[in-house]
Parts: sequence; C-alpha cells; structure tokens
Amino acid sequence: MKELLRIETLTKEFGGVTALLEVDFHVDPNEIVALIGPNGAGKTTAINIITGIYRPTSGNVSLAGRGISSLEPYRIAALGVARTFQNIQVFHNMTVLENVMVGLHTRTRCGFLSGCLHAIGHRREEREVERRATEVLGLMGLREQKDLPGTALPYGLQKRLEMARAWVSGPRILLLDEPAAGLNSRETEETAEMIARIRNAGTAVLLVEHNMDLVMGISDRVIVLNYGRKIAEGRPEEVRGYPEVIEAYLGSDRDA
Amino acid sequence: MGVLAALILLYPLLVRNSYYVLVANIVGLNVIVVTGLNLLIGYTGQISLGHGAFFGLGAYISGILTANYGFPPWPTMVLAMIVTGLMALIIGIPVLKLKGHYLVMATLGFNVIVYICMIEMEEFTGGPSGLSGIPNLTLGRVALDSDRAMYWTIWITAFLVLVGALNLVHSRVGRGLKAIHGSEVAAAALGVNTRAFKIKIFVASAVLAALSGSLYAHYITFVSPKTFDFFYSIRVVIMVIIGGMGSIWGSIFGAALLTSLPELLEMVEEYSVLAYGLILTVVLIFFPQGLLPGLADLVRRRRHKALVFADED
Repeated sequence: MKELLRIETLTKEFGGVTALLEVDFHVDPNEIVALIGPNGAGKTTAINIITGIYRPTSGNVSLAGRGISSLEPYRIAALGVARTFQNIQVFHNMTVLENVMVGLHTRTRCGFLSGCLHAIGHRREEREVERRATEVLGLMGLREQKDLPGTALPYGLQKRLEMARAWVSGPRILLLDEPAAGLNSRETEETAEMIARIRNAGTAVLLVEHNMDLVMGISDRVIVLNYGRKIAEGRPEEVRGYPEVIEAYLGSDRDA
Repeated sequence: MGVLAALILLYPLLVRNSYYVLVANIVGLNVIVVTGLNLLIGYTGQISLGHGAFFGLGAYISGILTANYGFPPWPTMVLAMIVTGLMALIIGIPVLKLKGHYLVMATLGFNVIVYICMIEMEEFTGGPSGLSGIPNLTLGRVALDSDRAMYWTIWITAFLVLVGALNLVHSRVGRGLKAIHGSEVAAAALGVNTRAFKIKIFVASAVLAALSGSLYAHYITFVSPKTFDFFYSIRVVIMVIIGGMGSIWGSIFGAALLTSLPELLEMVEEYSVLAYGLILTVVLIFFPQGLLPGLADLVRRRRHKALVFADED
C-alpha cells in the first residue's frame, strides 16, 4: 500500500533548543499510528509541523507524495489533514452544531458575495452542511447538545466535539493530540471506540497520547520519541518491551 | 421584525418636528457604519479604532469631487467606496497581522493621519473650516434635499446593509469569521483562510463606512474634519459594544441609543455628560454582552421562571 503521510529527517529548532532531530516515520492509509514519548519529546511539535503551524528547520513532510511543509495551515487542511488540540480549542462563540459546521469549510464553496445575497446554490449547500453536521453529532453522541454553546459542554464532551469537528469533512488523516487527557476510564473507552470508527470510515489516524491502555489497545504501530529523537518503532506489543522505551518512561537508575 | 420595519419606515410621517427626523437620519448613517464594524469586531474579533477615517474618506471623496469638480453624485459614491476599499486593503494587509492593542494602535494612527490630511490639504479639503457646497442627491428630477427625503434613502440603504449582514453571518463565511474570533489557530486548522477573511471583512466594513460617509456629505452638504476625528471611531466602537458584539440587530440599538442619548440629555443641561457616562456604565455592568442580547436573555429567564412557577402550582 502507498504511504499516505511521510515525514523525512524532520528537524525543528526553537532558538537553541532542538525539539525534533532527524525524525522519520510514515502513516499508511487506514492505519492508526501512535506517537508516544515523555513530555517535551516533540510530539505536539511534530503535529504542528505537519499541519503547517510551524515550518521545519530542515526535512520534509509529504502527503500522498506531495510536499506540504511549505504550505499554510488552511491549505494543508484543504488537502485532507485534520486535527484536534491538546488544549481544547472549541469555538466559545458558537453552538455545538455550528462548531461542527465550521468543520465542513473545506467541503463548501460559498463566498462573501453569495453569502450576503443568500443565493439559491448557497441555500442548498447550507442545508447539506447542517444535515451532515447533525449526522456526525449523532454518531458522536452529541446530538442532544447541538444547540448549546460549545464551551457549555463538560470537558470530556468538548474533546469529543473537537473530534467531531475535525472528522466531519472526511479527512484523509486525522491527528489527535492527547484525546484522552483528563478523561475518566469510561470516557477513554468511548474515545477508543470513536477512533476505531473513524478509521473504519476510511480516515488514517496519528494519535499522540499518554494513556498506554488506549495506545496499546487500538494502534497498529507505535513510534516512540524522546528528547526529539525517534528511539523505537514497532507493533504495540514489541515496543512495550524495548529497554529504551521503559527507560524513557520510567527513568533509569541514574535518574532516580 | 415586520412591525419594527414598518415603524422605521413610517417614522417620518408620525413625527412633526423635522429635527427628530434629522436625528433619525444620523442614527441610520451610524447603523450602516456600526453594522460593518460589528462584523469586524463582534464577529471576527478584530478591533479597529480607525473607522472614523473610512467614514471621512467616503465623505471627503464624494464631497471634493462633486463640489469642486462637478462629478455626478451617485457614480462618485461608488468611486468613493472603491477608493476607500483600496485604502483599507493597502493598510489592512500589514495591520491585520497585528493583534489586540497593537491592531487598535495601528488603526488609531491611521485615523490620526487621515484627520491631519483633511486639515492640511487645504487646497482640496478646505482645511479646518471644512468644505461646503456639496450638492444634494437627486433621484430622476427629484432633489433629495429634505430631511424626510433623505430619511428613506438612508434607511432603505441601512436596511439593505442589515439584510446583507444577517445573511452573511448565517453563512459559511459568517461561521468562518466567528471561528477566527473563537480560535484563530483552530479556524486555520479547519481550512479557514484566516488572513484573507480578516482582510476581506476589514475592507467590507471600510466600504460600508465610506458609503455612510458619502450619504452624510450629500445630506448635510458640508463636511469638516472635526466630524471624522478618532472620537467618532471610539463612538462607533462603543455603539457596537453597547448594542451587542456579534448581534446585527443590536447594531440598531447601539446606534439609536448612543446617537439620540446626547440629544435627550440636553434636558439636564450641564449634567448631560455625567448622565451619559452613568448610563453607559450601568449598561455595561448589567449587560456586559450588550443591550440587545442582554435584554433577550432577561426575557428568556423571566419566561423560564414563570414556567417553573406554573409547574409548581
């Protein structure tokens, strides 16, 4: 199978600090890949580079063979790369439904003028947007809350709302930045189900997560970062046993 | 809404004193500016203290070209909107990269520059004493030279602007603008071209201010720099806040209240400034989200409470 997302010798420096150093990995279509590592390992930096928020110091990011590391975030989104945020970025000034409707921005056309004129084609598009957004809210179990302000939802549901908003457009790959952080075990299980459902619907997933049960339970492949370097890669049960991984997570005797 | 529209349309026939029509006309002109500014501030979250300059550019471009060079008023109005829009584009591209107070300071600086140009370019603008002899608008052979004739011109324009703005905010574009306000980084991650959207809405709001300015110039037939200093910019921003940020209907409320309040307060003479400040403070304390959304909320809660009590019976 052809690679969907390819990261090649990616390096990112902030001033004198190296957040990522010559990192390589790839994600295949329909694959769930987890990116794990201790805090400060460079996981979120990787996501921010893939989505165009940061420019890499060197190295390449390509999507289905096309280089994307010099594109602006909105262009990368239009190519089918969606994401959620570690620190929740739900639109506080919009309802739950409207939040998800923004997710269909790249799938719709209406511009400033046809918006002002409420043109006929635009009205049809609006109906379709609302139908699709409501459908996804149903799948995510948020339909009853659709008219509440986005930030009126409890924390766990806001995380789920972000996932719905990112997924609604049917992206090629979805980057999830700590989707289970702060969730209880039942919510975490539900999140795992959602992620599986998203993959089954044809979207690849790059998962940054600290919850090892979640990561080991649903990932096809796990990549381990530490201090900006890739220290291991493999199937979940393989990676779990690597001494470097255990050391990175639990610390060595020297650290203690 | 129909009742409100009818009331607005029939207003000049209901009042005898044409002074009240004049006040209503100024309200209408402000509604046009405030609606555009609300799209920029209330929806997109980008604050401008420079819209007095765009209002003034519309007024002066229309005024100078029609009074000094005999240009026909209506096409000149379109020209004024285009030229002002281009100015907004040129300053918007660098300025909208700024955020928060920096954006405020940059737009304020622009307003000051335009104000100084109005005073110093005396040859064209008439300097501090202003520019007179601006012709009235005409419709066919009818000169729109009375308060009442201008009332309908202004309010029909304001109404069209309101409808356009309402349509816009309920569209894909409106959601994109609100998303920029909510979280710029998330908006971009969902595919909203945040830079282009901010520039477009900045230009659109400047063009609306210019439209209002042109109408003002042909209505009053005289313009002077004082009208377009940055105090005007502050006033229209206050109208947006008092009416309700992100509430298009609130724009009418804000414009009506803040335009007519100083006139009404003439009754208390020397205390008028004090009363004005007091009213603004009270509104902001009790309705921080603005007058119209605040009142709507109050009504909703009352009704909810009434329902709860009815259940208990």
